[in-house]
Amino acid sequence: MDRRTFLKGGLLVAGGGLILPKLSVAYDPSEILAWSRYPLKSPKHPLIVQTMRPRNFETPVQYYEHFYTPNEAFYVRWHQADYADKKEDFKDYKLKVYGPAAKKPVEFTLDELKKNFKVYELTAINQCSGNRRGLSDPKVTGLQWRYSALGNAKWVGVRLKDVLDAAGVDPKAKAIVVHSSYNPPTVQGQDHFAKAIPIWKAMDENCLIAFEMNGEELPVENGYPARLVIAGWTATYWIKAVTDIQVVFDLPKNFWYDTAYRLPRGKFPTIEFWDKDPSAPFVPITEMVVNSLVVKFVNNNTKRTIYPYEVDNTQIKDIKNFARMGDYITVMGVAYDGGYGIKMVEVSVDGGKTWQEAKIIKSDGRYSWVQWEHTFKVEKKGVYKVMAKASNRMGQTQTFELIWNPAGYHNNVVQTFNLYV
Amino acid sequence: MRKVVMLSALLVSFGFSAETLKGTPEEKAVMGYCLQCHSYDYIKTNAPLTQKGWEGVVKKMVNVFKAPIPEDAQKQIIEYLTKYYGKKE
Ligand code: HEC
Repeated sequence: MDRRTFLKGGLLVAGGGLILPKLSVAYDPSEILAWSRYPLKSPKHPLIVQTMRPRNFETPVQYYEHFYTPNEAFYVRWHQADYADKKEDFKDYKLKVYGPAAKKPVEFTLDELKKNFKVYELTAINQCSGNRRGLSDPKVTGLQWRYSALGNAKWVGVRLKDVLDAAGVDPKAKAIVVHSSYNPPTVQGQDHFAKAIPIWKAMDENCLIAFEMNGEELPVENGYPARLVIAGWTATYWIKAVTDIQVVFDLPKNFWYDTAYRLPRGKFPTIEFWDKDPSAPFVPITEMVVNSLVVKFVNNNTKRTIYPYEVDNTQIKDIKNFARMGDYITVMGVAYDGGYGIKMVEVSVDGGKTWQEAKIIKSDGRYSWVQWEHTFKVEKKGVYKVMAKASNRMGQTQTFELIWNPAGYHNNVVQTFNLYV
Repeated sequence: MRKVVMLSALLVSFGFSAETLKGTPEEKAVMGYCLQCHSYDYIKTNAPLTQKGWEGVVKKMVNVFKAPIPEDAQKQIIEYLTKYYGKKE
């Protein structure tokens, strides 16, 4: 049965009224491609499919051996399927700043943004709030991301603060509410994907409206022509193809910040921002928690490299037939937090009994991740249980047990790898 | 559907083939409602869920995301999902 008759079947049962989805890719939405590899941005760099419509794709972990995550391999995350996905769709692009707490509404084309404001560069981690959700136990619903719904990139753009100042922010303004008119709801009555950002964060000099990513225009799948960079905070705030910034005294109702993207109050050591209801049991997610990710093991004697994950990132893979007695093994990874800065990464090769400080081999400012490595000599047969644990300058560190929450956020459980000798 | 065929060929070259929902064409016809906003990938990756779990999902689609699905169809969808993508409490 082909898709046409299939949907006709749906129509018959439904008695009419079925709206056909607007397809923007050469693809049949009744086909299931989850967990396969698909060359979304480049034939050379197939990504891991979570969902094909809307597009949600995870980066294979081995790309993180590059300090800056290549744009072609950068993960992709959309909630609603009908977003503009061709550069020519943005010919009339304008960014508007307005709202009850904006003294003078302003709007800028992309060229005007670049010409009227000073341009800055910032390296920052962009991590989906739901990164690692798929590792929650008990399971929670939502995209079942494993380890790699994140990337580290060099962003170039103008300061959000400078653009807000051009509109004149009322001193009593509470927040900005941001959305993209290029990313409309899929059916009538559904809420536009919008985010509320408190004024104190929006005015932080590390928040940008970025039009360059790693020295190139942003890919459409990552927010062309311009996206917010809310450094230190999870990517839900980094509105892609941003067109509308409203400066407000009070927040309009919206599912995407009233209900979604919330954490149980008090369970995580992250900064809280005001809430409409100060007694609400769930508060908006904000900054990222301190975390580390093992990327690869290198055997310095045999020169072999292993990326210890299944192809589809489903799980960590045991490492076998890789290390022999006397070999020197280097384990390499990344570590990051919400912008306080990584202070140290420790590695254990005995399941957490003893820890050694790893060497930080590269960093680029406190919003970037650091790359680290640690070398040890294989001196006995059996299983080496390799773990890595990062701490930041606030003294925060990773957990050994999951702090379970209904949306599966902030999983920074220390990873364990079994290396068999 | 030439485009679809091309996609399948492309995937085969990556060593994967696409699958479709489980069950007979008659049983899964009602699932067409779920395609209005997104692909069936969400069903596969979120499975297995208990009947209660699927009820929660369908309710969220209708109440929060405004999926226009008549009540009898919602019931059929929950039955179908529990049968093919379900698990015990
Ligand atoms: C009116 C639009 C719409 C329809 C119709 C719809 N969904 Fe969804 N669904 C969504 C949106 C929006 C999301 C969130 C997507 C995201 O964040 O990536 C979602 C997410 C999901 C998820 C992931 C869990 C979650 O809560 O995010 C599942 C499972 C799901 N849908 C199943 C279904 C099933 C089964 C049907 C058919 C009964 C259906 N959907 C019909 C809009 C819809």
